[in-house]
Amino acid sequence: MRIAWWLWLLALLLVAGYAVPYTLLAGVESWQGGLLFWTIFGVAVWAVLIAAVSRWDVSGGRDPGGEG
Amino acid sequence: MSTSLVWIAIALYIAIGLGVALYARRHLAAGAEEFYLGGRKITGLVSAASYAATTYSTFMLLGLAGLTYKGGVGALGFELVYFAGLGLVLVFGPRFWLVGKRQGYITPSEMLGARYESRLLGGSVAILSCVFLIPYCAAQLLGIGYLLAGVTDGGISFGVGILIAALLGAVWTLVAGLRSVAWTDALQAVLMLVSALLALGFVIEALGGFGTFLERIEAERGAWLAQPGPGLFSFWTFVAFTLPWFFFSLSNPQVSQRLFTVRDPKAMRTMIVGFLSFGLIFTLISILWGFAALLQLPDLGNPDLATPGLLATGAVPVWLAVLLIVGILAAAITTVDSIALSLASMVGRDVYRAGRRDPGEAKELLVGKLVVLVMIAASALFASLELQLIAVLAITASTGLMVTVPAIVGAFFWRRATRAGALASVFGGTILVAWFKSAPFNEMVVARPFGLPDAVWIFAATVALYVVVSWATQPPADRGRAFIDDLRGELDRMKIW
Repeated sequence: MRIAWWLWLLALLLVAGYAVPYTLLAGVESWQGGLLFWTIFGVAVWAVLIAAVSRWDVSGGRDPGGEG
Repeated sequence: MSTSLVWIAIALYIAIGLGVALYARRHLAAGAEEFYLGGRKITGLVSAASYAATTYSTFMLLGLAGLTYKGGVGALGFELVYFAGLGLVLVFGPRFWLVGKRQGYITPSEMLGARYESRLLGGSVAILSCVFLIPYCAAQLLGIGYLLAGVTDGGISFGVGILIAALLGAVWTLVAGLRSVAWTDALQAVLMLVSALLALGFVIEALGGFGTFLERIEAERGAWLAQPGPGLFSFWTFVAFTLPWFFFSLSNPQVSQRLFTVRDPKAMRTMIVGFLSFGLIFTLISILWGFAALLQLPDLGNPDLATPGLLATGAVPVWLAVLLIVGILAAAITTVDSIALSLASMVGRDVYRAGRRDPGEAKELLVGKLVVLVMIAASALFASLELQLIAVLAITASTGLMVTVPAIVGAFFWRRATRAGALASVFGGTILVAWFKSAPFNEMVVARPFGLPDAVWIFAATVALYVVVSWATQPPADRGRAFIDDLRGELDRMKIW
């Protein structure tokens, strides 16, 4: 099963979320450092997940294959 | 702040909450599925608000604000890694829902026990969840104790604060099970968000507006904006805090069980969109709130007192401060009642019922209700000991619950996974948690191999045990068909990965 596009993006964002503040932005004592970076990170994660879930096709409603 | 004013606000809150809970009871039918899962008929909007209220607890405005006060902007990164972990709900949510509906599972531990054909596993996960969630529940109650005592200057004592939160948690749970929990949650989520947003606005205005607020943090507390900041968030501490937090949505039964409760996939989608949006806004509010406390109250001994301290400065008008206090009280209770309900279902079903030959649902429910009372009492007792920072207690709980993650992930993705692998992973991980957290060892922090934090070792050990023992043992005859192949068609039809 191929990994979904949004999972790749999420993984990439996570790596950046750990790496950037501790390397490029390490010691930057400004709101334009970690505070701005992680806020953008949060908005990007939100956007990726909303985009992924909005592609679900839920028009069929309840599970026809189930017994319940 | 006047103690009687706070009492009046709490009384009003109780009256409204009780009204909602009793109304929810009118819709309650008989049976465990109805009591614990609301009959799997919860709509998208109620699910969204309830999930948000359950997962975004007192931890946010008290614990996370306190963590910001102590450790700076790393607290934002920490909470946003949890937020990114909500992506797991997009993968596992539909799978939990489908398999739960088809097989009739009520608890996540029951689901695991069935997947690995092991009642021992189901029962053990239920008991482990009880043990690890007591500190998490206690953290909520502790928050309310600090808050009410702080804002009334001891007019409402720390102990009475804990008692109020504990009693309300028990009542909301027992009145109508998930229906009363979800409906009161929904009401309280709105209260939490609106009051917090307004209060933050007033505090930032009092600090000179948003631009001045940022400039002042830079000028007065520059180190708090940098990594590793004033000292708390070294890289490995950040990893230790975030690793269990990332898996929270899978490892914590009070939230993963919610994946069984939604009416249909459309409701699940609404739930996800709703709690993601709520979560991002509430995270930013809590962090900025922590920074505001840092500027207004630079010399707090206990960072968990940041919020009561900030409310006492007069920056927030009294009516709003009272609303926010009730909002935070609500945040604690929504988390405590959801945990109590989830644990009740797990112990009633996976320990009591699994150990007997058809004891009947009435007895199973009675045991569950007793569990609610015992768990909340134990948490209140634990909270009254005031052992740790709220944030540290919450993270400890999630580190323990992390031992169930490989078995949950593998259940849906690895045909070769075996009962022995799942048992080895859960038991091995638990032993390691107990060893790391036991008092004499815990104090020798430097003694961790390679200096890596506990969470990394615990996670690596559970994954390794799960994989190696599964490889070494006979795979199940059906190779997890009901959890993997049988779901594929429906997932493909819905275009879900």
